[in-house]
Amino acid sequence: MIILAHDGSLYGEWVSRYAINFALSEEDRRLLVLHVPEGKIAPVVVEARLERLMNDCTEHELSCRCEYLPPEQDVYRSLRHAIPHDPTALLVCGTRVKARNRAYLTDSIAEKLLRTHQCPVVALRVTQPGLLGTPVNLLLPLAGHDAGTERFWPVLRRFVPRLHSVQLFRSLNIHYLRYPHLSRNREQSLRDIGIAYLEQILMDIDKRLPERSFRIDCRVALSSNWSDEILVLASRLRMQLILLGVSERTLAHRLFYGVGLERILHKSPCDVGIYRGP
Amino acid sequence: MNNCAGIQKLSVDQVYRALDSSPRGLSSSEAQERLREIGRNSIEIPDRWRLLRSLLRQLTNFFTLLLLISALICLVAERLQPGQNMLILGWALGGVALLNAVFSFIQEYRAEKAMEALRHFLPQQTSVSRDGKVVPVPVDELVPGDLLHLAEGDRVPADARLVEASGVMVNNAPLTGESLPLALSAEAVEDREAEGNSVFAGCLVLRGSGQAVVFATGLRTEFGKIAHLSQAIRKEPSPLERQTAHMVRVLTLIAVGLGISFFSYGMVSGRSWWINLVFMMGIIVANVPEGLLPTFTLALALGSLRMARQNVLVTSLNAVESLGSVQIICADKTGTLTRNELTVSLLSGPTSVERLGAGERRRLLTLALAASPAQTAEQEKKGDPLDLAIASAFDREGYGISWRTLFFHPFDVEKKRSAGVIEENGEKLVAVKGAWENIAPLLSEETNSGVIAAAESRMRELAGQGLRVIAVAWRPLEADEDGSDQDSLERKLIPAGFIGIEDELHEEVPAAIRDCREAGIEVLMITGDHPDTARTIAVHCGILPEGVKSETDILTGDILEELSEEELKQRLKAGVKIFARTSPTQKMKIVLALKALNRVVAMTGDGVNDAPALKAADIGIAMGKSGTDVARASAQLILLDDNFASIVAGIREGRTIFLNIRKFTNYVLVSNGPEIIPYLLYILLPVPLALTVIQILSIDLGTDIIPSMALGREPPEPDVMQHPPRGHEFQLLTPGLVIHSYLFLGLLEALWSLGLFFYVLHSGGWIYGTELAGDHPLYRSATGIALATILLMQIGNLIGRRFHRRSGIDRSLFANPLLIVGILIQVLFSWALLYSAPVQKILGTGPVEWTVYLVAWLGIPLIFGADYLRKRICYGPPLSLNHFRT
Repeated sequence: MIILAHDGSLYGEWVSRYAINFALSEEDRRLLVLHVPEGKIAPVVVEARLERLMNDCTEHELSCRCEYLPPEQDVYRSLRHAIPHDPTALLVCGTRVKARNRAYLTDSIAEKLLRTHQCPVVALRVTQPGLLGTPVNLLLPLAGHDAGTERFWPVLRRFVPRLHSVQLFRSLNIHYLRYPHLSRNREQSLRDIGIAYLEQILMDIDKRLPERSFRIDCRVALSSNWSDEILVLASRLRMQLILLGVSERTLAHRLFYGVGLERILHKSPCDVGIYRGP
Repeated sequence: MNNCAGIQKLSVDQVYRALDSSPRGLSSSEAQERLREIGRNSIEIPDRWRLLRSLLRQLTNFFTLLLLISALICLVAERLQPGQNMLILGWALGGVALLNAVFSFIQEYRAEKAMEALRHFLPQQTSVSRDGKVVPVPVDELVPGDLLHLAEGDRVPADARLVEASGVMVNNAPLTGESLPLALSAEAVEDREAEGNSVFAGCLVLRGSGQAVVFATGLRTEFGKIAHLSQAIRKEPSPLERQTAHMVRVLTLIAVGLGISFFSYGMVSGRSWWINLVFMMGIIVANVPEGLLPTFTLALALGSLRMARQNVLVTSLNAVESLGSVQIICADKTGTLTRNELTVSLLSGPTSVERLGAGERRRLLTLALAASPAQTAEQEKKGDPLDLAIASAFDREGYGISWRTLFFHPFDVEKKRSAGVIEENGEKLVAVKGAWENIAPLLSEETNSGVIAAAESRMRELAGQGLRVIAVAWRPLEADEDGSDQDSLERKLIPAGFIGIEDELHEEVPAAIRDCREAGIEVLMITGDHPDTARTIAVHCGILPEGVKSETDILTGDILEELSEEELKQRLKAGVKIFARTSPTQKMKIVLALKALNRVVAMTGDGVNDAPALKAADIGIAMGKSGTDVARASAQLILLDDNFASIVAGIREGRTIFLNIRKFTNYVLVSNGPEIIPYLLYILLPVPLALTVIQILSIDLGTDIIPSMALGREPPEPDVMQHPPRGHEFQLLTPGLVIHSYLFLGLLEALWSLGLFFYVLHSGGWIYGTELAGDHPLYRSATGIALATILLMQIGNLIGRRFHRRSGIDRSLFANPLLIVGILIQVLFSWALLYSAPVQKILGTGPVEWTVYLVAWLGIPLIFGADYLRKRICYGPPLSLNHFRT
């Protein structure tokens, strides 16, 4: 089952295209739409948008249920109470820009939802509504954690039916003052470490999908700025979606990675999906 | 090309629905909401701190930091104990540090130019429907869902799907590199690769008008991605930068290590902290070749001037040397290897190998011309070179136009053919010309498989001769067929024959490729041509050997598209030499795979879409004549004559510059020996200091600079192109070079200069163990002769450094006038510091007997002779220069 947290906005409508496409490949073909009225958008507009969504689902022969949740203390709590505990389901939500171009994810409802453990979550930043929620080329940057495919698989598998290629990518952090002094041998050994990790991930994917129909490439970069490296690669390879894991282990970690993550969300040349990392 | 293929499959109504738009366009409030969500339609990455960050990066460079810290210590020392000339030293060190940083900063600032050139491809304002009215809006306020109104001559401001089109023809050259017009409609297309109903940012509407719904803006457009890469790709450190960094690191470690060790020793042995500080500074200053990096820059700048004379314009100084280390050149066939001047060299029937009769020749050229946009060479001048070649052949044969054109369907990139309907002698016919593989399926059923097979074989035979083969077919039209519908026209065609078109090689290319092979440089050819044509050209110019045909040496674009980087690397290792039927966008893939193989790659390009690949390569080479501004701004080298041979001339120059850099590095490091040893003696023995810090700087930042530059201007050695490229592993500072500089020639200079220093002290009455004041006349004379000896011995060192294996006087000194200037400076300065009062005052030196000064001159033959002896012992008798000339 796919669960869509829809805020009733136009942006929510763009995110809903992903949800519909995900639901099409679910065994039960079910889509649960959750909406908490906040009063920011006229109810008549929200109703029209949700009705359009229901019609699209009917057209695609999906079973769709729409729930208007009572606003409790805040939107997040209302949503959390309504999200079923189901590890096989996927919650889809959007990361919207806040007033005065502040952060997309930090302190957003999407960030709180990413912390819930009721089901896997993907928060989407849609920059290309013309893509209609059907990316076929995915960039999957990985930070080198031991969790392997476990965290991103619930999201990645929903894209599989339409995929043409997946680029596994690992950026190894090298300070810019150190980079010119790095010997070729050291550089190569670092790259080898990165490639070995990505090949392990590739083997894991192949285990899960013995007859995969899309291409997977592995690429490693040494850089002092991992977020820039991801953005450049996304443009260079004409990627349509960056699927990024976010971790929330420590404050320092969050401060360090949070800036890069927001940078990607701000400047991405394509849509971005964020899942909960290890 | 299109990243939003899904939208092309939708009907017009579905497009409006998918993008929440309507034939009335968006409302102003909706547009505002979308602008907030998606951001501005701008291809620039706003980064207000970029320049400041770049400047800071230069200032925090390892070498610059070292110089700045040294300068700061000098300034503090001057404040604590004035009158020791530490202020001048401080400013000198600070000046060198800033000079280096500013040079590098100016290089990075150039990146702005590429963006400026890209900006010209987007309009300032455009017309859209908002709230049901057509209004002009600034282009950066466009959002997905906006309904654009396009007219002839407009630049497209964003990627958009046509919902209404009336004869729309666009030029997508900025994205595809293909300058031929493309006809578009508003119909849905099923083929994922097709682009028949979309317009793209940066492209030009050549004809017609239409309305289109925006589906991507800013950096998400195809043009935006090129712009993003043009701004965001940072050049990796060049081989020289890496080698310089390594050298600076090693020298700094030696300098700081020695400095701190002996400072500690001095403190333990009870000397005052001030003496120890001056001593430590002296050790550091003596070890760090302050003048070396500015001399690098000057040598590269002079090299770039010499390259300009070879028709290679350098836009980044490091590229001068990087070109010398190139291991692989990826060259475009058209324009770089060939002249890009097409001529019809053969007319053939569809199956026969016999020469066509006059009537048949006329018929074939008439049909080909009917399927061309204009019918005279004069009209074609600005059009496609292929059509120009056909029109020129028609004119050359003396034929006149005897028909009337009724319809023309221009060349379609997807269909790879063009068609024209003409009326001649009251009869209507359609003529189609294009690639054989696109014409063959349109032949009539009556054309039996035997004929098709024979035509296929003939086409392959012609392509095998290196000709670009154009197939021509036709059929008579019924009176009621009007010719407006291309698809219904192009059926049941009759093959008319083939036109073989040749693009001649630049005459210097085969020799240049031979030079590359001898120099161990691999040349890969990239072309959009048929593999057989590409192979023949490659054989003609020497990229492939004659008579050896292997399947592994050619890779076509469609296969390349499907390969992963790892698979491509394997193919490259297996020996791919030609990329045929490739598009410019695939160049990036080739560059990245080659770089992943640890090769130093040069890539040529001319189009806007070549810019990212040019930036990603170690050396991006743009075409000066045919290249776009964007390509030129993204490249590090510009070929003024678009000729491959100029690249090879540039490589020769680049290799020479690197060899010269090694020569003057060796030259400069030699003087480090006699600069360090006096400090070691001073701390270990009760003797006066033979050289002061300011005297060391007078060598490093004064007298050594012009001789170093002279070595930087030495002409190429005859065998410079007979060695394999250096590659990434090669180091500028090798153990051999360090031993030769410090422990051989440096030691020799130290012994001779210190010998004279102690001779002057001894003959002046100095007794071992006694101290001498810094301003004592005897001390000033002794330190003066030590400095003068070093300067004079540097002349012998300078001449010996001209050749690695030969003596250095087997080529006239006057062949390099700067060398004479350098020698004169050393001589003049060695005299002035002993006998000219103003110089004595600045350097703290004094006069010596003339005889002593003449003994110092003996140091020149001593160092030169010793070095020559070493060369003879190590390398045997040298080959004469004439050996290489023959």
